[in-house]
Amino acid sequence: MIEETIIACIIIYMVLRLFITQNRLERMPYLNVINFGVAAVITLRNPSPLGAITSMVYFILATVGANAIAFTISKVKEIEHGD
Amino acid sequence: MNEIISIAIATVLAWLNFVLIDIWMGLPEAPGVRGAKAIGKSIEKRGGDLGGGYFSGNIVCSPDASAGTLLASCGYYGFGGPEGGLIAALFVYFGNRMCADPGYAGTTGALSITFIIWIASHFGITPNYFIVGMVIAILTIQGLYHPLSSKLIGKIARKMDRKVIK
Repeated sequence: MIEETIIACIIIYMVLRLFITQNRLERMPYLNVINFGVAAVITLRNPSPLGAITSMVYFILATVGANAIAFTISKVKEIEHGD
Repeated sequence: MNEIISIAIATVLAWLNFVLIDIWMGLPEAPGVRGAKAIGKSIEKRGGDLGGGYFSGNIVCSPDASAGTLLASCGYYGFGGPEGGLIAALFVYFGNRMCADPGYAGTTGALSITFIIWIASHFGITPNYFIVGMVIAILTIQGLYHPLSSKLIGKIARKMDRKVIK
């Protein structure tokens, strides 16, 4: 029980930081911590092989999504500034 | 009280596992993908270290030893044995390929934490403590204050002779 409480506190704190941060690139690591927390909670609530596979698939696909978002932000900056 | 001590020990082991393997595999040396470069430069602009910034960017953009540590703990907990860690290593390997990242840090991290959990479970530190420990460990690097954590990573990287390649 204490495990879920700690992770819930971390996720809520990260969501608050995500809301008050303006810089889009600074937000990406916070989003990464939330993904870690959600993947952890999925397995902790379903301690079964299916729960473990679900959190693996969730986390890998979330990372693929984060990769695409960071790529897009860097590309948009390049177009805006001609860097 | 016993639980808190177990979580603290698991956090330290998970932190050392993913930081040392990621630095040894050269994450602070160069950004693996383009998004990682942008995140690294952004952290440097806010007063951090470029090597530590690339480290953070690489963690965000592809499943490295941090992901390997979390998923191997999840696999060990869900499957109830070391075979879960091996399945996690396979998933992390596929994730690396999908993100076009050439590194093998994730697979190495998953296999090493599986071994560490196997030893620690003999002393009563079960994989669920490692799952929480990894979330706390990633919070210290990615979630608290990027300039400070990137400087710490840069310092460890220079000690291990993994400087940023210009």
